Amino acid sequence: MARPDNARYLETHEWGRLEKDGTVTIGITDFAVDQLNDLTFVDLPEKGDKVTRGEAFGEIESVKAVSDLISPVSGKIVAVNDGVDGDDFSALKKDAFGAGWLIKVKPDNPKELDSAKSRADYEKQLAEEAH
Amino acid sequence: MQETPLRAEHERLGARMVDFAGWYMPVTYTNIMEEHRRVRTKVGLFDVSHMGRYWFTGRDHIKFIDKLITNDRASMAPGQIRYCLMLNGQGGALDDILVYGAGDEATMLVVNAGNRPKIWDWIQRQRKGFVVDVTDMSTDYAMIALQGPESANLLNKVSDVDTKALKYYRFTRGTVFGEPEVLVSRTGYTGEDGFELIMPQAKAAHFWRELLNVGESLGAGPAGLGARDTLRLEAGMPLYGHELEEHINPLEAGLDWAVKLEKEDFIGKEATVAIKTKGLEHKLVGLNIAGKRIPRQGQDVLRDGKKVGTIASGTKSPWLDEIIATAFVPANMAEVGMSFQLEFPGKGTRALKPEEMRQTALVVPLPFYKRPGKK
Repeated sequence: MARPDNARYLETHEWGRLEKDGTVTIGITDFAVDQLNDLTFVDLPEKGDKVTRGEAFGEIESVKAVSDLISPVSGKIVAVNDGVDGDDFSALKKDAFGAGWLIKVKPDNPKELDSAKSRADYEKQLAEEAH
Repeated sequence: MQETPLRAEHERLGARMVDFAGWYMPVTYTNIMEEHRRVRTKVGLFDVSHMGRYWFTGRDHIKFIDKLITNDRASMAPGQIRYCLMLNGQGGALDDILVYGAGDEATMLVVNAGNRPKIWDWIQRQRKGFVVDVTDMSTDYAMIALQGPESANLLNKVSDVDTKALKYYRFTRGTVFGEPEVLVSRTGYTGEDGFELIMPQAKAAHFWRELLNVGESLGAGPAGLGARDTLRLEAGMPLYGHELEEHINPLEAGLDWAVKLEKEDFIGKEATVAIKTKGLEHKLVGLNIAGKRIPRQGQDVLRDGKKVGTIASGTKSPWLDEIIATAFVPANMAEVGMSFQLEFPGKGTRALKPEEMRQTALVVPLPFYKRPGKK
C-alpha cells in the first residue's frame, strides 16, 4: 500500500491529512493495522467532541493488546467513520488511508500538523524499528 | 535484547517481531487465527529456544531438586517428565517448570525465559551443603516445538524416534535429520499432541527449515507467541506473570496436582500447608464472556457493582470464537455458573452501547478446550 505524501505521520502510527475544505482527516497507518493484526474492537469519539493534539481520542483493541489512538491536532470532530467503529475492520485492512479513516476534525490550528513527520521521515522510523 | 539462533529464519518468513521478556521473538507470521487453527488441525512449529535449560548432575542432585520443587523428582522413572512449581518461603510461585528425569544420573529443568536469571540465582543460593553440579545449557542448544495432530507424522518422516512408544510427558533421544542424540519429549503448551526437540544451536536453522519443507504436505507452518498464548489459554495452562506470580500460591491457581504436600520437605511447603489449612482466599476460575471486548490482565471483576476479583488473562478464543478469560475471585464465588460483570469505560467519548461498556462473565470449567479423545 502506498503511503500518501500529503499526509503527516505520528511516531505512534496515526496519520493526519489536511483536506481542501480545511478539515483534517485522521486514521492509523497500514503499518499499525498490520502490527495490530487480529483486531477485535475500535472505540471512537462522537461528532462534536473535542480532541487534543498528542492525546488519546479513542482506542483500538486486538487479541494481543489495547492501543490508544492519538490525535495529531487539536480541534472539534466534524465526522466519525461509522464504517470502522465497532468491530468491522475490512475498510481498515483494505484501505487504511482511504475508506479506513477514523475521524475528521476541524482544527484549531492546522499548522499543528506540520510538527508531525513527513512520509519519508515516518518510513525512516519504520526502517529503524525493524532493526 | 537477546535473540535465538532462529532470528534470521523468523525474519525470512516475515514475522512480526516483539520484545518478549527481553527476547526478540516472533509474535505472528500471518495472524493468530490462522496459526492457532493450524496447531489445532495440522501442525505448527514454535521457536522455544528462549526458555532456560538447566542440567543437574552430582551425588545429591535429586535430593537438591526435591528441596526446590513442589512435585516429586525422586519417584520419577527414567525418561519421565513432570510439571512443577518452584516456590519461595512464603509459598509464592517463583516459576513453573518442567522436570526431565534422566535416571539417577541427571535431571534437566526447563524454566521460563523471563525467569531465567532469577531461577539461576535461586539455585545458586540454595545449593550449599549439596554435592551438585548445575550447567546452563540454554545457549548451547536450541529448542523447537512441533504441536498439533500431525506432529507425530511429521516427526516420523524426519527421525528414528518411535513415536508410538513415546508416551505423553516422556522423553527420549533420537536421530533427527541425521543428527544423533537429539532430545525429544512429548510435551507442549497448546493442549494438542506434540513434541519438543532440543538440538545443538548450530543445527537449529537447518532443523527449522527442513521441518517446514518436509511438513508442507502435512499442513505444517510456523506459529508465533500470539498463537502460543491463545492456545495455552484455551487449554487452561497457566502463563507465568499472569496466572502465576510471586504472590500467588499454586493452590490458588488450581495446580494442586503438581504440589506433593506428602513429600518430606520442599521450600514453601510449610507456607502452602498453612494456606491450605486456613482456607484459600482467592481461586483461579475460567470465564466465558458475552460481548466483543476482551478483558485484560489486572482489570477488575465486579459482582453487584463491587470489585471482587482481578483478570489474569483474557483473549478472543480463536477455536470457540468467544471471549474467554481467567480471573482470581474469592474462593466462595469460584463456582461454575457464578456470574460477574466487567466494565469497559472506553477512551473515546462516544456513548458506547450499554453492551459494549458492561459485559457479563460466567464461570465455566477449565480448560476451555480439550482435544478430541483426551480425558
